[in-house]
Amino acid sequence: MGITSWAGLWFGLTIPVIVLMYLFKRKYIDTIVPSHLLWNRVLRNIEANRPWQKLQNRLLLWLQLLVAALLVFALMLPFVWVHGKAQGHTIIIADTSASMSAIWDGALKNQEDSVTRLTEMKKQLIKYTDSLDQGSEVTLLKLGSEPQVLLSREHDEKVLKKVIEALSIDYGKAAYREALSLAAALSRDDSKARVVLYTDGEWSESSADIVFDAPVEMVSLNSSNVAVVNVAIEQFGVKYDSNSTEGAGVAVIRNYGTSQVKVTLDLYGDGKLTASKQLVVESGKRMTMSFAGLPVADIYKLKLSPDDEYAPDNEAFAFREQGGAPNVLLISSGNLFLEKALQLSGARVTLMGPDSSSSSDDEGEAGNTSTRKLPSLSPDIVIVDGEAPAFIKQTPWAELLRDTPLWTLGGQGEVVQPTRGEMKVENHPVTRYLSLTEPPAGELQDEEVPAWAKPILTMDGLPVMYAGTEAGVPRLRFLFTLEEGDLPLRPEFPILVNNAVQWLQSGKMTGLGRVTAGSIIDIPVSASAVEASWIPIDGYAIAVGAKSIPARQSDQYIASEQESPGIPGLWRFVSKSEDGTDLPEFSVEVTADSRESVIQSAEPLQLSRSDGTVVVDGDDIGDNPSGNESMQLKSRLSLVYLLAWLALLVILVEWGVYQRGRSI
Amino acid sequence: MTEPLLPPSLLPRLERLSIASKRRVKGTTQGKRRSGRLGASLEFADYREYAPGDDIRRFDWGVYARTGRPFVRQYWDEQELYVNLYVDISASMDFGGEKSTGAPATENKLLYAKSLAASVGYMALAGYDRVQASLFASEVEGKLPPIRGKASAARLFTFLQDAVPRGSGDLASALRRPQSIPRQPGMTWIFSDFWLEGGIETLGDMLSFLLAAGQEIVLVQVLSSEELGPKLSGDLRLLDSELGTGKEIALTGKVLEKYGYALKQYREEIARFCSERGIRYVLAPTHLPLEKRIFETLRGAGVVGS
Repeated sequence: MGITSWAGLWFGLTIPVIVLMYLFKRKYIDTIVPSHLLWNRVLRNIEANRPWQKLQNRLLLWLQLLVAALLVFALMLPFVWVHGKAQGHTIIIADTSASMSAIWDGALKNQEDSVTRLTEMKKQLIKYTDSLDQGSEVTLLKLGSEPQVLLSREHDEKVLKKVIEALSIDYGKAAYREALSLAAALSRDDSKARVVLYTDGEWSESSADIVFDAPVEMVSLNSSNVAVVNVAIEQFGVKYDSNSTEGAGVAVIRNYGTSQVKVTLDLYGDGKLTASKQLVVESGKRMTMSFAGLPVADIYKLKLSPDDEYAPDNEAFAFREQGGAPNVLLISSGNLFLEKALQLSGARVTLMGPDSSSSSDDEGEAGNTSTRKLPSLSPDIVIVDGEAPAFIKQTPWAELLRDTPLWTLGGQGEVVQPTRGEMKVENHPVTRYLSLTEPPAGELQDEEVPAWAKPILTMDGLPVMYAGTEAGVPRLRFLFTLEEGDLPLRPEFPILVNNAVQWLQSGKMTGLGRVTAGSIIDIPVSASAVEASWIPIDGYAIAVGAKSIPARQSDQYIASEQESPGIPGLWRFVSKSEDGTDLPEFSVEVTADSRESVIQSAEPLQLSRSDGTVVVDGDDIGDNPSGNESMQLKSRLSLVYLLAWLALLVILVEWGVYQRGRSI
Repeated sequence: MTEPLLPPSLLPRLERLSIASKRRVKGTTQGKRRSGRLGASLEFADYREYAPGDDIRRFDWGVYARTGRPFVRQYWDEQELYVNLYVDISASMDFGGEKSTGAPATENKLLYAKSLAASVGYMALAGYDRVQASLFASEVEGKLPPIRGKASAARLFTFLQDAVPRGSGDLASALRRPQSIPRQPGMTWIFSDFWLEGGIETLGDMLSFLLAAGQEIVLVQVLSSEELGPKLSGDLRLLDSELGTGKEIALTGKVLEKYGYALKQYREEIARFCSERGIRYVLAPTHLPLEKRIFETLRGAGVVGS
C-alpha cells in the first residue's frame, strides 16, 4: 500500500479541531425545574443561534471524527498494490537502445549462448503479457532512435507477443525524452492508464522534468551492484604522410567497466593482420594507442579482444584517406584535349611522359626506363595514350597495372582501314549518351578482342573500342589514337571521357567515414543506378548475421540521401546500373551511439508525477533486483472511492443516531 | 399529621368571610346564600301590588293603611352555592420551600395550594355552601363527595392533607373528562401552577368545558419564588420534574431576563383569556403568608368578601 499525495495529510488538522470543540463543550449540572414550559420558550430563540449545542452526543463525536479521518485519508489518494491481473490501458515502453544488446547480468556467465538484455526483456514482456487481464489494452512504445508506437490499444495477446518477439535493437541515438514525453502524453487524461517502463536504466538524458499523470512502474534489466566489463574503441583513424607510403594509426581506448582490463588490439589492413598490441586499461580511464608503419590498405580494422559484455564497440574501422576525385595517371606524350577532358570529369591528372625526356613535374627525377619509380600516390586509373612505354611491363609497374583499371588508346601494331564508315554502338556505360555516328579515326589497330572483353563500338564489323574486366579490374581499349581523327574536337568527347572514367572507377570502393546507426548520410549515387543495397562486410553486423538492406528509393531512382544501416559494423553501399554493371561502391562504418557504451548506470533514473512526487526511483529497484519479478504483476488500486463510500455510510449511521436522539 | 393545614387562629376570621359569587345561585336546598329567585328569606327585595292568590302573610298592612293600596313585600330566596375545589397534585407542584434555598417549608407550592383550598373550603362551609374537592394530576386522583356545614370541615382538611404529589400532571385532560366536570352550576376553584405543555390553548379548551357546565371559575396560580425569579446560574441541565427530559443551558443574566419576559407573557396570556370570559385569575406567590394572601389578595381581587 502506498500514498499518492501526502499533502492531503494537512486536512488531518481538522481532527484536533473537532476534539477541541468537544473539549470546549460545557459540562452541565443537572437541575430539576418544575416545568420546561417557559424554559422551552426561552431556549427556542437561543438555540436557533447556537447550533453547536446539538453537538452533545459522544457517539456523534466519534462518528464525526471517523468521517473526518476517512475524508482526510481519501484526500491523500491512497492506493494498494494489487497483485495479479492488471486492467485498463497499459503503456509499455520497451527500451531498445544499443546498451540493451549488452549481456544480461542475470545470466550465468558460463552459459554457452549469452543472454542479452533484450532477450531477457522479451521474456519478461511475454510474461507480463500473460498476466494481463482479458480486455485490457496495451500500447507498445519502442524506445529507439525515435519513439515508435508499435501497437496502439491492442487487445489481442497473440499480436502483442508477435510484436514483442520482433523487437530489435536500435543502435542509433536513443530518443529517451521523446519516448517518455509520448508516453506521458498518451497516459494523460486517461484515468485507467498506467505506464510500465522496461529499461536497463542507461539513460544519457535527464528525464526528471517529464511529468506523468498516470502511475509509472519501472522494470529494470540491469543491476547496479554487479561488476560489468566493457572496453570500447572510442576513436580510430589512419593517416598517411604526404611523402610516405606508410600510414600511422591512432586509437583511443576507454574502459567503461568497473575493473581494470587487459586487452589485445589487433589491427588488420584489408583483412591481413598488420599490428597487434596489448595494454592494460584502468577502470574509467582513456588510453591513446598509436600504430606506425602501416602498409597501404583501403580499409583498416581494429579489433579489441577478448570480447566483453557489450560487443558493438569492440571493432572500429578506418579508411585510407582519399579525395573524392580519382587519381588518374596519364602516360602520354602529351594530349591537351584528353587532359582537359579528364580534368572536366573531375579526375586529378598526373601526367607522365613515356620516356625520360618528357616526364611530368611529379616525376622530377626521371631515371632509366627500367628504374622508373612508381608514383607516391597509387593511381586509381592508369591511362596509356599511344604506344606503351617499356617500363610499364616491368615488375613494379606490371603489378600496379594488374590491380589498377587501365585505359589504353592506340598503340603499336598493324592497322586496318575499314572500307565503309558504318558505325555500330553497343549498349555500354562508356557509350552512353553518345551517338558516335561518325568514325572516330581513319584507321584502326588490328587486334583480336580478348576473351574477357567485348566490343562496344564497331565499324564495319571491326572493333573500335572494347571493354571488359580482366581479373576483376576494368580494362578499356580504344583501337585508335586520338590524333588520328577529329574525335577530341567533337562535343561528345568530354562525355565519352567522363563515361570512361566513371566506368573504370566502378567497383572502386570509397570510404565515406563513420556514421551513427540510423543517421542520414549523403551518398554520391550515380544517376544511372537503378538498384542499390547495403551489404554487411565486416564487424558486428557480420557477427550478428545481418542481412543486406535495400537502399531507399525516391520515385524510380536511388535516393542520394540514404539512411545508414541500423546495425554497427562495416557496410558497403553497392549499386548497379540498368544493364547490371557495377557502379562505384561506398564503404561506411556504422557505429552505435557512443553514449550507449556506458552499460553501468551512474545515476538512478527518476520520473516525477504532476504533484512533484517521484514516481520511480531507479535506485530502489536497482538495489533490489530480485524484487523485479514481484513488481511486474502489481497494479495500483485506488482506495479513494472505497473511503468515500465508507464516509457516506458513517454519515448515514450518524444520521440514524441523530434521528433517534440517543445520548451516549 | 404534625401540623394542621390551617392555623386554628385563622378559622374564626375565615368564618367572617364569604365567597363572592357574581351570579345569583339557584339551588334546591335552602342555604345562606341569596338566590336569584325571590323566595322566603328575610332579605327584603321589593314591593309589588297585591294580586289575588298572594301569600296573605306578605301583605304590607302599614302601606295599605297609609295609602289605601294593597302591596305585598317580596323577599329574596336564599339558597346554597356549589363550590368545587380542584387542587393540582402533579410533581411540578412539589416545589418551593426547599432547604437548599433557605425558604420556609410553608412556601411549598402544594402545601400552599392545599392551604388555600382549605381556606376557601372552610369559608364556603361556614356560609352553608356545598363543597366538593378533587385532586388531580394527569387525571382526577381523589374526590371528596359534596359536604355541607362547618362540622364537615374536618373531612375536607383531612382529604386535602392526605394528598401527596404524584407523577406528571395534565390539567387539561384531567378536567375535561365528563366525570370530573361538576353536574351542578356553581363555583369552581382551580389551584395549580398552570404549567401545561400545550400552553394557553389547552388551558383555554379545558376552561371552556367548565364554562359550558355553568361554572364560575377562579384560577389560582400558585408559584414559588423560584419560579417567579429563578436564582440559577452557570451551565445547567434543566430537568423537567414531570417529563424527566433535560435542557442544557448556560444561564446568564440575559437568559434570566428572557425567562422573566416569557413568564410575564404567559401570565398575560392567561389573564387576557380569563378576562375575555369573565373568569377570575389570581396569582398566588408562595412567599406571601397565607393570611395576607387571603385577606388582602383574594379580597382585593374581589373573590372573597365579608
